[in-house]
Amino acid sequence: MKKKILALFLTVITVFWVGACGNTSEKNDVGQGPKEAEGGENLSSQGQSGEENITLRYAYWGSSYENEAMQKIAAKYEEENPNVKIECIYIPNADYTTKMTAMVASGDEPDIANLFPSDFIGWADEDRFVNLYEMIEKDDRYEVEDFIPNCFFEISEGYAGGRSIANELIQLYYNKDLFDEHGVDYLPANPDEALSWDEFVEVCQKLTIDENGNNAQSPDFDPDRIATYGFDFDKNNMTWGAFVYQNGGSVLNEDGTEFSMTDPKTVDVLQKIGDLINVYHVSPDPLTSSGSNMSVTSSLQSKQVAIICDGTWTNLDLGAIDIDYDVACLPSLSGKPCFETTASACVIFNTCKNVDVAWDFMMYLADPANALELYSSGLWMPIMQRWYEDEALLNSWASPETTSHTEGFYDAAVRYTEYEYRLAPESCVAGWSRLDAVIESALDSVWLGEKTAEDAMNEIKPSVDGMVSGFITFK
Amino acid sequence: MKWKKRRGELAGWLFTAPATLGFLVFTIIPMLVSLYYSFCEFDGIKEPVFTGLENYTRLFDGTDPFFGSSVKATALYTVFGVPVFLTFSLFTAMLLEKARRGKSFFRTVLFIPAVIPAIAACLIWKWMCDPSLGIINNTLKWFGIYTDMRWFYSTKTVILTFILMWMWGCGTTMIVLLAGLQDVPRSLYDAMDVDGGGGVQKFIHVTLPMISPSILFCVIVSFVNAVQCFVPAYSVTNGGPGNHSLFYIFYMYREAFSFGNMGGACAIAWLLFLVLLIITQLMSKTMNRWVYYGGD
Repeated sequence: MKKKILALFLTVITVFWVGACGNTSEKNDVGQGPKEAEGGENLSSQGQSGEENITLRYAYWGSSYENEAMQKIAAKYEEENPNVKIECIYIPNADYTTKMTAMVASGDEPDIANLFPSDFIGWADEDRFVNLYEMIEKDDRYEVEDFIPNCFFEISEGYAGGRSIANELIQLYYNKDLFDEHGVDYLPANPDEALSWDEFVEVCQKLTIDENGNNAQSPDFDPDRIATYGFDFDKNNMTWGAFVYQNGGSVLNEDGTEFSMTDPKTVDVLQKIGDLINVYHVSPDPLTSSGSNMSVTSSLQSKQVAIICDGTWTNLDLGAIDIDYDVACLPSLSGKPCFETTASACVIFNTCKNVDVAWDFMMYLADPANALELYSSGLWMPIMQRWYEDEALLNSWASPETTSHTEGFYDAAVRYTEYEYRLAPESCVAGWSRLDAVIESALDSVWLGEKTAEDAMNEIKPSVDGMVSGFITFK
Repeated sequence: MKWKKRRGELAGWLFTAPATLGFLVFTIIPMLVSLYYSFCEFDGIKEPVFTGLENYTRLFDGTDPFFGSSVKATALYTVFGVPVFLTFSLFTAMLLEKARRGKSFFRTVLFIPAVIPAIAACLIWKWMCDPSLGIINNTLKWFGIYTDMRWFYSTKTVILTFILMWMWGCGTTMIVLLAGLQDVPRSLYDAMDVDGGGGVQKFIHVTLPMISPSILFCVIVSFVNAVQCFVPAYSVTNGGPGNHSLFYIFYMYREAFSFGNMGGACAIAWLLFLVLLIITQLMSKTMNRWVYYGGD
């Protein structure tokens, strides 16, 4: 009996052991083999894939509407390329870095992925990405000059590890019904006609209404019982960063060696935003409802907020819900309109076994000629220059008559190159996620009215200075 | 005879092998590897580079801006949360024990939150405590009480709100204490009655000593739960506002997976391991002084 049990036990162990070995070898065959890709065989084999079945894994983040849009476009690509299957890996924003890190660490990275700049930089150091300049050179359809400035994440001279997923800007969005109800003029979209800060505060006051119907300019206004706020924004560097830029401030100094948010221009604008919350009571503190449980788009739709500040991608979500809204430019703080753009990287991992097909799909997404819905629906703005310069092309994705875009979009977004513009800190500051954690926690105390912006920024300067590691280079 | 004995030993080793191998492969080896990584600069992907004690020293020399906040948040939650949670659990257990009617109904109602997954419970509380949309502030408003309590969204109340949320899920602890209470011999209370002891004396001199083993178990479990609190910070506040709920485990997780500092996160984990080891040793040393095991 004992012998039988022993034999059974040893058999089970052997089966598991053999099984485990089998899995490992299979894994190596399918998912790994960076050297093969690096060797250039795949890079130079355009068209060689022929009719063999190819599966590409594409990882991205975004709202549920964005996920839907990406899946549609992947299905369209599959229809046009019957031998290619796109496996969409949708990961919500909050878990994106964690899951991608785990995938990369375990050698299970996707073929194509959208990456936050801070993740991109860490992995770019290890040459994990296909050089997109080489791909462009091999592809007769494109030249580097066809793309907008700051499109390529240049790791070193002649080596672009990623391209910007899309062009995106920070803007104001407002609920037109609320403006009509309270007899307030619509916000200007043209940056040359941008409101001054004081005018903006005044508009917000007129639109902030308490439960008795008094606005924030009324002496009877009750700040503890506010039904509608004039203004709200997501608590992140893209939004407050856009206002900081309007006042000529920045997160780091010009050469990227020092934390510069203690600069009077930056402190002034952060304090102004803090005052919207704690002095004028026209904006909820960003830690409460709109910043936590309800998205700013939902609060705009439900008329809890009249104006929000967010990126151009919000057009997609707003276009999908029942709301009469328009886009406006940010108020001008220094009298000199300027735009903040954002860029996250779209990369091809060099473990990809079908680099040419991956490149083809990557460019399929980037070219509105193929994937017009991604652009006309408001999710992205093109990264290819001619879609801004050629009027017919421009109208095909931005015209309010034929697309989801609103009247104000052209002035408030499309014309941005006529003014000064720069990348948001998240897109260009190296090691941003750690830096951001310190800055955001200090800003919490400003938004909550517990500290002045000057004190909060001065307090964190020594520790942030120790963490600064410059800018990411772009071309 | 000798061969038989050896064969018996071999069979013993083989039968314990799955558990031993599992423990070795999934616990001991990862622990040793993480100990090594704690002395390295390691992002989880590149080759680790040995840097000596740097990951440990940066926690104490002020280089790491989050360590102090995370220790403070965890200490506050543990020091205030554990006694409040245990007192509340004991209180509800005593009420249930005394209840003459609906005992099983109330027991079920009080136990339900304990079986709700932690992440779901957190989301429920996140909505309930929303300052403008939440049921708590709106119910108060309905009664004419206008409060600007921001619950999770204020540096002053965030830990308090987490403690309240923890108390809501006291079901398991309450059941353990209730079982302890039901095992207290009635004769001891009768004896107290004869000696003229009142309710407070009964509680101090009979109830507490008799249920002290259950209390010890609950103290240890609650302490470990408090120190390892993660889900609320992850799902409700993301460590904010102003790092006031940056609990230690969440801080460790963020270092590892958001900032790609696996080496630093391993050092943070080992530091916690050492602290917990010391505290549990202290607990077990003092245990004999206050825990009563019947015939001892």
